[in-house]
Amino acid sequence: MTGSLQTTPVIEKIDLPSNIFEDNSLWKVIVWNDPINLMTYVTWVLQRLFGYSQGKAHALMMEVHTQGKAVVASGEREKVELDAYRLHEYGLWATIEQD
Amino acid sequence: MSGKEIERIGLDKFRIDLPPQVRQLLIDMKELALAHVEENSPASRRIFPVAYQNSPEMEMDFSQLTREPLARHHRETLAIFGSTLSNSEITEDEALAWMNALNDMRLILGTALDIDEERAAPDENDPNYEGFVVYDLLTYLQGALIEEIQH
Repeated sequence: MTGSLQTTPVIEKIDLPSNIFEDNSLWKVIVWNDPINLMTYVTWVLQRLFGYSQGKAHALMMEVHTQGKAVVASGEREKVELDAYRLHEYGLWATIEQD
Repeated sequence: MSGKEIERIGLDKFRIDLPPQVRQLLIDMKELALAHVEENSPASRRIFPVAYQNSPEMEMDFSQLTREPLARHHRETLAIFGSTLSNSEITEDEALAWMNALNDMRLILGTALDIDEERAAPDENDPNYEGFVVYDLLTYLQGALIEEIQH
């Protein structure tokens, strides 16, 4: 266009946080020790749900058993919420925390 | 015959050999577990765990999204368990439902009995003696199923 008045307002540069439109922060799923779930069962569930090797699943289970808890998965919030839900389906005591 | 109560006999087949009184006890336990799923009782808190311990708002959102699907999952696996309890053989999918159902029953009964890791053998003088015996039976069966399902 030519000969028209400029009607578009001038926008000052604003420093926006880089994650204003999406949450890029990392979340983690924690499994807690409980006196009811069997150690063999916890190992089996971790293998079945996450495809972990027997060794990795056993090590995580032992961390739960001896330390009281273990981070079993991490990622974006939507993904860890699904992981926690699936663990709840299997009766594991799983919680979600921001890393 | 191997003498095992639960035994994998094929890729998609498990043989079940439980005495009638044990099957009846398991039917009763399944009904009890279903009642706890529907009633949202204190003993059912372990089958409906809190996901966000540090944020009531996030927990409310998560719970609103997952509570009913989780309840439906518990109902469905307990129903499959109940409908196949009298079978002499079950499939792999049915065995997985048995695993979920046995674990739900142990979580509900174990919570009601306030089970801890240092627990000794059941004491006949304990008013909850029968509950502990049933809990130990469920533990035994779940342990046997885990072994066979990985076999």
